[in-house]
Amino acid sequence: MAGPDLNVSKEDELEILILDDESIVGQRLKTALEKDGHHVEVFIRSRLAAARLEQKEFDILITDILMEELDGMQILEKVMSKSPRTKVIVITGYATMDLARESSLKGAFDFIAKPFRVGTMRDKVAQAAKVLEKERAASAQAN
Amino acid sequence: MTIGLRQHSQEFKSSLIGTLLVSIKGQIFIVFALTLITVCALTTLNFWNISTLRQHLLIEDRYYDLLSNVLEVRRYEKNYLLYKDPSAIREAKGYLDKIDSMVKELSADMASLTDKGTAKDFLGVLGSYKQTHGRDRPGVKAVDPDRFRHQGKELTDSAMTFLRLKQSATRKAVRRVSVLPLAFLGAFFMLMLLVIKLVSMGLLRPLKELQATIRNVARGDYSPADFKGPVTAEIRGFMEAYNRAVVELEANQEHLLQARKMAALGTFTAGIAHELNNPLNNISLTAEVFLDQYSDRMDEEERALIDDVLTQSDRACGIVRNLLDFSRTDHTLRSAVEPGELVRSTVALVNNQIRLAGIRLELAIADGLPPVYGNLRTLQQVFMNLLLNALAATPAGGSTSIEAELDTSGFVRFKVRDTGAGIEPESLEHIFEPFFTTKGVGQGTGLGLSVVYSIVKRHGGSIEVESRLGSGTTFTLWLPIVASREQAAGEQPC
Ligand SMILES: Nc1ncnc2c1ncn2[C@@H]1O[C@H](COP(=O)(O)OP(=O)(O)O)[C@@H](O)[C@H]1O
Ligand SMILES: [Mg+2]
Repeated sequence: MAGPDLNVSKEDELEILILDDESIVGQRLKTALEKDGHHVEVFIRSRLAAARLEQKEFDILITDILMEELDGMQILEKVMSKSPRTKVIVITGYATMDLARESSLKGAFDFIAKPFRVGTMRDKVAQAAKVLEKERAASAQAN
Repeated sequence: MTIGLRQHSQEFKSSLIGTLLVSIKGQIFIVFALTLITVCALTTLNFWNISTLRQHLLIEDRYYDLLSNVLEVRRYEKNYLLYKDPSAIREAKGYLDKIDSMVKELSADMASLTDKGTAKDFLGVLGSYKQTHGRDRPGVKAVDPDRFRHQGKELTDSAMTFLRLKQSATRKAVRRVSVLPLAFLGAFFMLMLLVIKLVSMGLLRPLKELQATIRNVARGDYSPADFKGPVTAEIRGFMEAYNRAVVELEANQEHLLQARKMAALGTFTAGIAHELNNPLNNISLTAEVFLDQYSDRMDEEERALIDDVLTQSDRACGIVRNLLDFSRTDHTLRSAVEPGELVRSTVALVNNQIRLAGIRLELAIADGLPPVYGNLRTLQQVFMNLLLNALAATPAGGSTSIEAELDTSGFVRFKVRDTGAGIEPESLEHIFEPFFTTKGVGQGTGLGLSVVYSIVKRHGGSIEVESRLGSGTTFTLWLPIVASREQAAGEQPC
């Protein structure tokens, strides 16, 4: 069930949405991940991000958990019901590990605790890309 | 064997009396027993006094009779001498017989009233008087009236003397009887004095001192009760119980204060750490990406500057992570952790540092220890922090050790010992506080032990420290063993 956007993408270019109310996190990750050849959209307000997620199916969603308006957990639930294929990486404050655990129960791909290194995030994205690749191959075979 | 037994029973007897004397119960028992004996003796004395008095009164009556009979005889004597009436002598005879029998009856009492001689004299006078009476028979030479009268007078005088003596003896007996109630009063008074003294010395005075001591407890002064002077068994027992309670109370109070302090510090540090977390994250992300983007165009020195930003923000992140470790109250996954495995895996992490420091480390893990219930990674952090502190305190050539053995009541007891510098007594109560350190700037953050404390508490365990300056420090930890099959089966949040 590949979307139209995915078909026009290059093999290893991923559609990534980053949502964090700390704007610097989004900006820096965008710089780093775009350097890796991905297409990144950054949101600071969760409502806007939710609206965007309604319009478009992303490969990877990177979202903070504690936010105003909608929190990361609600965004996660929305995405998992609309597009279970999307890999969600949850960013969490250190002391909210059980929230992170709950999110993985709800289908998150992985979680990462603040403070974190850009390299760590790159690793997680690479892992998600690998899984996406495998799934795509499997669905191609089934077709 | 028998000797031993007898000695034993003697000891028992003397100790029984000893306990009687030093306890209020025993003292009051002894005082009442003494009073009872005294009152019994006084009552017997009183009974005896009253019966002698009755005796005296009866005998006094007899002396009256004696005197009146003597006077009667003298009346006939007068008749005889005045009117020469011979029948008077005959009639007097009857009275003389009566006097005789009375004197016989009273002779013992007479002897006791005066001395034997006087009583005998009286008998002599009576005898010669009777003779004189008996002489008046027809054909017998008439009696000398003067002598007759003189003898009669002597007789009267003697009878009156006896009566008077008896009267005074009776009066004495009466006085004795009337004095006795005063003796009762005295005995009772003594009893009262003794009881008052016993109660005030044995109870009231110590109670007053205890009252003062107990009032101090309310002000937070937990010094034990100490009463100078003799103390009865009851008060001693009470004081001992009180002192034990005070010691417990003080220990509990300290634990409570410590726990409250740590909880307050936890909330405080958590607040700071959360606030710092995001900016620190932003700094390090920015520096990293900056380096990533522009390192090609930077020279050596510029790269070094950004590297410094990165390492310093890493350092700050480490501190924040420790603070959060200390203050976190959320759940970690717990499962069965083998004590031996826990200790050995931690030692493996710091083995290099131990070797570099030139310090010996001995492990003494008891065989067959049950697994403790905890999170391996966080428990490793506990032993790592303790070991690093031990290494820092111990000079090269010194030794450290980790012991693990089963303690009673479902805990495994771990001891982390070193032979290092030890901890100043004033520092001991602060070492678990975050940021308490005696190490120089950049050497220590003072967070290691606070994290240890927090992790151990979260595991339902406890930690104690014992240290002597110059000879070393021992940290003792108790971690709960796996209690149920569900705990043993797999991971569970605590
Ligand atoms: N094994 C030990 N021997 C002597 N002092 C110790 C030991 N462990 C801890 N301390 C003292 O407790 C303080 C606090 O320790 P810790 O919380 O680990 O912080 P840090 O090691 O960063 O100073 C140390 O600075 C030191 O003075
Ligand atoms: Mg330390």
